[in-house]
Amino acid sequence: MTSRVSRINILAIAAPFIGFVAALIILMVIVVVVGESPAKAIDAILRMTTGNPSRLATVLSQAIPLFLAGIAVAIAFRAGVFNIGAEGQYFIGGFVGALAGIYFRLPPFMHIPVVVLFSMIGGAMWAAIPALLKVKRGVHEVITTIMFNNIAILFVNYLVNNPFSGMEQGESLEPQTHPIQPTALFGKLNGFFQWLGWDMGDHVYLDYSLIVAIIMGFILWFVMFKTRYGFEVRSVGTALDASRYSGIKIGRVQVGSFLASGALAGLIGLQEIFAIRGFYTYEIARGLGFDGIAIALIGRNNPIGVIFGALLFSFLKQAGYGLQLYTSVPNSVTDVITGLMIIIIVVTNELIARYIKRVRQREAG
Amino acid sequence: MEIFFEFLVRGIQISAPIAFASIGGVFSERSGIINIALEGIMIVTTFAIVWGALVFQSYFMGVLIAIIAGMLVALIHAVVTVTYRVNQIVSGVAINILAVGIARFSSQRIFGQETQSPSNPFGAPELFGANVVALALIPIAILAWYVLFKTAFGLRLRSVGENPKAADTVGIDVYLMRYSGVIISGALVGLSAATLYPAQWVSGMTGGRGYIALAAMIFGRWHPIGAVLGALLFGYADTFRIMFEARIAIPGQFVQMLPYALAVIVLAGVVGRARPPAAEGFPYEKGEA
Amino acid sequence: MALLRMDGITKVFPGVVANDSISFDLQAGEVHALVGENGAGKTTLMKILYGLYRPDGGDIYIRDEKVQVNNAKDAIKKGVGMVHQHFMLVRPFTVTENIVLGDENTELAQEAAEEQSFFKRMLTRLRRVVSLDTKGPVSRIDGLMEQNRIHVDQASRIEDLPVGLQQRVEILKVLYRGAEILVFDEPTAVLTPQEAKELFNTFQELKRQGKGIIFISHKLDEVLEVADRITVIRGGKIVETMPRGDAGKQKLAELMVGKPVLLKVDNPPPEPGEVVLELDNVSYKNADGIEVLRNISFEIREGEIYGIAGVEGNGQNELSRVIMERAMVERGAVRLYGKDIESLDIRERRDEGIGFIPDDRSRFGLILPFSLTENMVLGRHHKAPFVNRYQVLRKNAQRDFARQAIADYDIRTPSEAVPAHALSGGNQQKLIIAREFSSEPKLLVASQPTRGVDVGAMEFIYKQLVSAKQSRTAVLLISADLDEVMSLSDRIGVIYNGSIIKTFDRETANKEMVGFYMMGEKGQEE
Repeated sequence: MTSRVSRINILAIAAPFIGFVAALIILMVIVVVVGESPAKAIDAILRMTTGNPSRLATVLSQAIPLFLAGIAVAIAFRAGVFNIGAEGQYFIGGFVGALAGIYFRLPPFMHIPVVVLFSMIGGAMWAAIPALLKVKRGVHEVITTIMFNNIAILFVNYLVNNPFSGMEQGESLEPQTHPIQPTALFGKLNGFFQWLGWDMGDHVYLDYSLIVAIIMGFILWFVMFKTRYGFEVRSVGTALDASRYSGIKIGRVQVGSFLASGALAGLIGLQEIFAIRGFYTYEIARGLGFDGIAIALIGRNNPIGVIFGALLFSFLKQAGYGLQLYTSVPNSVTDVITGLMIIIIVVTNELIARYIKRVRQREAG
Repeated sequence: MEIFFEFLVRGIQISAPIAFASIGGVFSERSGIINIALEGIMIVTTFAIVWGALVFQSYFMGVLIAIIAGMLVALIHAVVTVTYRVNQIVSGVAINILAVGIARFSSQRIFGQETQSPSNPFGAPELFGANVVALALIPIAILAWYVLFKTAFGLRLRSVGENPKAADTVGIDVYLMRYSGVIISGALVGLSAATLYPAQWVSGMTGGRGYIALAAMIFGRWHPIGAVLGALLFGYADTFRIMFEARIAIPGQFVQMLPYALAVIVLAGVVGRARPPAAEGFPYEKGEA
Repeated sequence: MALLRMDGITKVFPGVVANDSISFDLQAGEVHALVGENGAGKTTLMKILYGLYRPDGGDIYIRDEKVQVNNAKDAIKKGVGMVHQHFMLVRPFTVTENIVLGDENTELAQEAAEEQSFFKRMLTRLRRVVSLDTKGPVSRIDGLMEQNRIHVDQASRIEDLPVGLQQRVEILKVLYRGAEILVFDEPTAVLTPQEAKELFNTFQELKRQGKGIIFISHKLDEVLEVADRITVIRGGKIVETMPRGDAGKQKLAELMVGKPVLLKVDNPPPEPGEVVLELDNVSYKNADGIEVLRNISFEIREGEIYGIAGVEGNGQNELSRVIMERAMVERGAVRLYGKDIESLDIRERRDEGIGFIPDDRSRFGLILPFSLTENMVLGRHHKAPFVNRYQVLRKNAQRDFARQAIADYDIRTPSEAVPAHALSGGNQQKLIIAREFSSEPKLLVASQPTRGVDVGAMEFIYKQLVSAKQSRTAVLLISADLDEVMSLSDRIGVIYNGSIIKTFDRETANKEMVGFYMMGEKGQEE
């Protein structure tokens, strides 16, 4: 019996691997169709991703916001709610954090935690209405969060262009806020890694957001698997009725998880706003919230799995640039295989579930 | 007077892409399948129409190609969600990512440029200065209403979105109906492309219209005429913003937020409750009954 | 000539023989009742008739012609119609739309079938899809209503109709498709007595039309009222088929229940103490607005088992609900040690000392993918010793607790770390019992505690219930198994139609009397 259980467990985690391998095969087919040699393509991918220490560091750097997006979506998934609104939450969260960075006067050791905290508050605020609408009125959170995503982007567009515009008359820069105080800017950790012997260039962004990501990932892992709150979240997400009858307050757990999800999503923009740009603009990278859904799925909503999911996504993005640069395969192939990979993973999950069900039925008989 | 006429014509042009997609959304969701892939399908169809028109040197061939492309992408959504019963949102998200890739990749391969196509001289015939397909919106909306509410097909399609088990017990093929709903939505998004900007494909040109279409559909309470009215409301509000931005006190962004905010308000039941089809979002396994 | 003959039907599911070579027949103009306890095999037999299950053996004859029914569509075509227990209606649709659904444009369908030219046939088929004839069906349905004396406003939407009228729509749906054989699956379960009366009048009309009716029920008085013949089914086998004249309630009840394997339970007399639970005139309406509990009053004392006997669906589930949940009690009060608990939620009620064994263990009782340890602490995971004061789980304490419970309650498992779904049904139930008992509740609500468990586990569970009583717990035992209630309870309340219609002491109770009241018999006070 134990061996059957473990076989089923292995099958259950097989889907992401099958998805990844299938995506690679599809990629190679595309490469061949485009008229490139697979060897050259692989070489291009490896050169861009692992070719030298700086490029490897870039993969890690890009994985930071992706990781935060992944854990943000994962915590909601764990409670059985679908936060497709991480997108809007990081636009608002980043903005609120940026305001704290622009207008507060604090010493660095306080200012940086404060902007992190404000980013989380901003993200949680933006998640609050959909969360309450779901629990109190039964409104499907997916539709409300999609709407809130679009409202968020327009809202920060207005805020940056009007009340919080940092543009002087006649400047022709992209619309942006005033610069963030130097005390709130995220410094780099490159020196530390270089001291460790990782010979990366100074241009790579391995900044304080990496520390934030590590701390958040650890807290999430700890809360999820080691505390009463995580136990309740996992219970609710796995078996709603049994949780209810055990006395767990379903509504509270779901709202709490949704707010936590929003708070984590509020951190997705940290790197770009506080380390790369030094001001806020609505031109920050889009789509990370949606990437987060896929990453959570690949990481099976486990913080450790999400690390792999985020690195995989980052790897794919860099691989796309590599192909673009060194072969005639366009960068957009990344989106093609990402989309296909998600579809393959979820379909494989379903097929495995059907297989397990059949095995169980057979064994029962 | 002239400016009023211009407002009227521009409004219908701006509304039409949203309206067609929102009717599409109605067909899909009435059959029980949430379709947030509308945005992705629109990305693919806007590319397909330009490519088709250039290859066949005809606008209407372009439209045909766009419709076929829309149906094919929708077919992916149908296979994944109906046959494999995968979460409909996850499938939609994946297709939206995939669609960006397909359009950009194809543009790079075919036109040598990833972010835009060459301009397409085969534009839509115009009537009163408006794209004829956009003018066809009203008859098509009425046709959609007729199909959904006045034909046996429509009755069956709506029944599987409300209670697939009941439909199954009277011998209706639930899968066939759901495939039909989703694929029709893809075809209608082809018409969105026909009216959006067939003169050129530019990456990102859909600008979230697929999501606005969802909002219009909710605002119209999953009814094709309602959805079109919603789309017209949003479209004309936007036209008003574009034409008179300098003269109105409300910042343009707030006008643009209108569709999304109204959708949430309607869903929350603040102004009368909007009720989605009862079985929407739930996969159905044949023979459950 | 029999309208329907099912001959030697056998259906095996993993682990159970649901139908063991069952032979059953139905004449035109007859109501043939099929009675038996839950799980006796009635529903399986009907699902085979309706093409939803494929039989493993046996044949079906309709008007002496051997038929094969592959799916519902097939069954409809062969004249079999089913009025499902849970209505198969589309709620926002009108009555007419629901009736014609799947069978629209009948004339065109016929035309298409008769058309010789391929092209014209296809054209007619297309017309069938793109049109929707509403006038034709409306008058046809009017005709059907006239003929069968069933009246519903065709323009109403289903969601606006009361349950009784919805059922008429289901009947019309079946008649519209020309059914000759009508299966009613516990049709009165959802009806008021008046509505049930009207349904039985409809039965008479249908009989006059020469239709055959299969009436599935476990309400014996109804069966005796309307059936021409009665077949009792038990454990997948036919026990007896008899004309109504030969059947009496007592006889049917005995046949249904069978001679039980009497489990020996050593149940010492109670030593009742303080009143723990008191229901004071409690009434409760369900979501459909039907009053499912009416003026229920009883109390349970420390060290006593109070059993609720009754046929399923008479309000038992709702009874456990009002005790466990913050349900909207219509009137009356639920008190624990004299304190009204209406404002308490489930956790607070559990904290007050209520333990609960739910009737559907896999849905309400366990989180199947979680380990035994996690399931053991579920509900007490927020209390010492399972968390420290920083709310961090103390896994060692949890594991030790689970191991102890596995040993104490004889749960057969390779370890405490395996997921609950790896256990057999009986061991899953023991897991729940272990969890609920080990919290030493003051009140234990046990709903169908032995459902679906084997005899060994059953005996064990009985012993545990008795020992809970001996350690001063007040036990509310709700069970459809009369023998179980009889042998464990110190007092027995019989529930019928949402009311406790009679209470017995263990000394005065005998099975026949209790069974009599379970069938809704009143006014037999001696």
